[in-house]
Amino acid sequence: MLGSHKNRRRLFLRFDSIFASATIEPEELRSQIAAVHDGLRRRCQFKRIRMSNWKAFDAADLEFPTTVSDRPIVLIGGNNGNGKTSILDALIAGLYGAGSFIDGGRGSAQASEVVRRAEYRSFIERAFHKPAYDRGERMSSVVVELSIPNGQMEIERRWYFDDDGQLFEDDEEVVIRLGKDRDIVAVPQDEDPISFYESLIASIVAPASMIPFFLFDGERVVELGRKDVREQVRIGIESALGISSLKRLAADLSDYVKDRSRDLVDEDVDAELRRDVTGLEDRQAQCVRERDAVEAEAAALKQRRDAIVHDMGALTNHSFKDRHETLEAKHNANQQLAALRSEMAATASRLLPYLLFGRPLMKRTVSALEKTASSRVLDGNPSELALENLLKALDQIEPKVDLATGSMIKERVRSAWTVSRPANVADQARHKYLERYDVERVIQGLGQGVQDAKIQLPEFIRRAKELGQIVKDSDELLQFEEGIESTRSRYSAVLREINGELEAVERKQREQAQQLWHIENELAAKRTNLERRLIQRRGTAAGLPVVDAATSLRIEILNAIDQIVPEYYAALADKVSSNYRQLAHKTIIQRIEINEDGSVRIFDAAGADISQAEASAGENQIFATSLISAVGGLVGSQLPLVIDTPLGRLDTGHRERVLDFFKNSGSQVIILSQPEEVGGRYYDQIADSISAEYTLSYRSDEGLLGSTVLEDGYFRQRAA
Amino acid sequence: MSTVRYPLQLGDIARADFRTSLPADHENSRFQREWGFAFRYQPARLAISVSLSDPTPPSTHIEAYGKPIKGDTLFGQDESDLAAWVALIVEHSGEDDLSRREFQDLVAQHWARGLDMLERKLNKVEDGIVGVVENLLATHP
Repeated sequence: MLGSHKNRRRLFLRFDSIFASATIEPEELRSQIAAVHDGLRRRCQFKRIRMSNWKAFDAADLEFPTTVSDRPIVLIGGNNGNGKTSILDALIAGLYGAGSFIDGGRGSAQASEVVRRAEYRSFIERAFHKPAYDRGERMSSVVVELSIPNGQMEIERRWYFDDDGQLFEDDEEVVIRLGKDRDIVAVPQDEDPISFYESLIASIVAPASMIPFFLFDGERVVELGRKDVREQVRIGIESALGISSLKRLAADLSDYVKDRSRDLVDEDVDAELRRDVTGLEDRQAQCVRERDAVEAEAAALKQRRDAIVHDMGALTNHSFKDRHETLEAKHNANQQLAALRSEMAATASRLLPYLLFGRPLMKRTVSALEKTASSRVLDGNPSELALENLLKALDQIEPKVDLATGSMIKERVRSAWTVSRPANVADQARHKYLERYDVERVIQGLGQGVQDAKIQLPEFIRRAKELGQIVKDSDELLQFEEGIESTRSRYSAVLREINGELEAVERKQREQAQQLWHIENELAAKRTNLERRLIQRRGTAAGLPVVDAATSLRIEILNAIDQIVPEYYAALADKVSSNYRQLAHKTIIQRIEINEDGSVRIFDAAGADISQAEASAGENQIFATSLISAVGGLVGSQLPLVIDTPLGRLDTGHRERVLDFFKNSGSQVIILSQPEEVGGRYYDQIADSISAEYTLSYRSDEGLLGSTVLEDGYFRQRAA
Repeated sequence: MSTVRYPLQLGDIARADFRTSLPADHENSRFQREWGFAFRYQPARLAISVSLSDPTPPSTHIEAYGKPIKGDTLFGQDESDLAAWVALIVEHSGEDDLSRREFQDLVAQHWARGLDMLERKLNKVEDGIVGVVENLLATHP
């Protein structure tokens, strides 16, 4: 329960129940705080680490013997690039996950939590064993087993990747198993699993902020010895002492006290709350009324819109196709009419005259022509011969007349013949130009012309009228369709207008819904608050003791911190000084002081402050190792140490002293070293303290990216 | 100045040029345009035939003449058509022994008078040739 709480309300309710149910005596409090603190002093050792698709390893399983207390050292050898750092990284990531970047000093120092989380993701993505990814595997995992005072603890983390090698968002699985039976630790209801596991690991092993003091890279540890490390030192010390947790608890209690006192102190709060509730209820009712009005407006608009859409639908019975056909028909009729007119003009000019001449003239002409034709028949017989034949015929007629009478008759006939001749000649003279022409044909042509005119011309008129009607009908239809078009566009304009209005109304509806939602939420919160206060008021007697109890606890915690911290800082300074003297062969440093803000001051034998003086990389490492060892010691000198390349920057004398220091530190020490780093006499120096030895060797896969395999024994032994 | 009198011969008429007065010729062109006739001879035929329906002899004074139309164009390529036209014009004149020149003058007079008659008859007719034909059919059944 010492972890930070994101959900203050729930935390405060929990405090309510704790402080309301029991009275906590200061003495009892002190012993409880001590118990919490003692809980942090424990012996922890790494027992085993299993890695799958992790960095250089396809799969690896390392066991670290934990029972042999006089052999605290595990030696793991490997050349550069063979996976020493993979093991250190696996231990850190396996234990702390994202916490290693957020609180553990692995992320960028000045960056925000968000940036550090992103750095962690990117680190995990890079840590995925490349050949496994190429094989199609999409999961990596690390399992860290620890030996703890009450048995054992196993932390398993799995990371899942997509096909682009990206870590699935929030897809880090964590399982913690405790005890011999490796029971899975269940996450309490309402707790965030990651925060819960973080607190659990912090309380059993150490908080992530302790990482730089027990899981470190010898090369990088040098930085700890450099100048401005006070923040990391302060955090480390406070974590080691559990003070950061206690300070957080005190801060939470302070907030809790403020919260609960405010409620109780202000008598007007209830009345104000009631006023607020009433006001909000009025606003809610007003808002509902407005909403209903707007809804009615919207419904009316929708109805109008639907009616117009329906009417527009009915208009579309006349399609574009119909219009096209009408236009086509009109065009055809016009074309036919034009052709007909032209034909009619030609025919009319040919036939119409036969009617225009008039009947009298026609009759006269025909009669004249007939005479011309018949006179031509007479012309065909010689006139004298015809007369003689006629006279002879007279002689044959019975009863015979006497000669004198006969002669007289013949003379009269001859005279009549002569008289009749000039008239025929005159007829012939008017139309003499037809002498050699077929007059009968001319007469016939005149008759035919009249007849043709009477039949053909009315037919032309009938056809012309018919076509004219088609054109007229088409025009009417087109006009009607144009009318529809204009109606439709008028409808469209109205529809646009309605849609615009509807949009505005709907916007208003959304705004009102939002407003109503806010009011309802506010109202619910105020009502709950009021209700809670009424319940509290009913038990006023219980309210004040809660605040009192929390205040006492807070004061006791702060007192305890005030009391513990200086003692520990003094003890820490002594321990660092003593460690340093033990490690360094050139003892310039006489005394080391550590202040509560974490700043470190170093004094020489003459009492001069040499903190700002330039030190060599080796000297820095010695100082850092002293500091680390001392800080680690604060948690009961029982945290395991894992050091990557611990002796790289040290000269011969320092190497011996540091190795001796590890040998006698009383903690489990896992050394990840290069062959020449712990070799020859250095190896001999610690040989009797080594409980396990491994060598990392790299196997290339036929020119492809290979992987590291773990073999028993250290370089020298294997060579021998 | 002696004038040679050529007797009427159909062949001569077919080849002869026929004209009307200049103003009548303009009127002819207008009718041709307004009523949609393709050729000048077409309104001319209607004019001449309308004039022939009036039994009185035409007597327009002609000072200047318009453009000519060949006889076989004006009265038809078919010989019997040509002959019918000549017979009608000659019969209308009541004259025996017309000369070609006299015949041409008669045609010029009928043409001019006919256009005048048509103008009076049809100045209110609409619908172009259809209206014209319809009107003329009604008045000359």
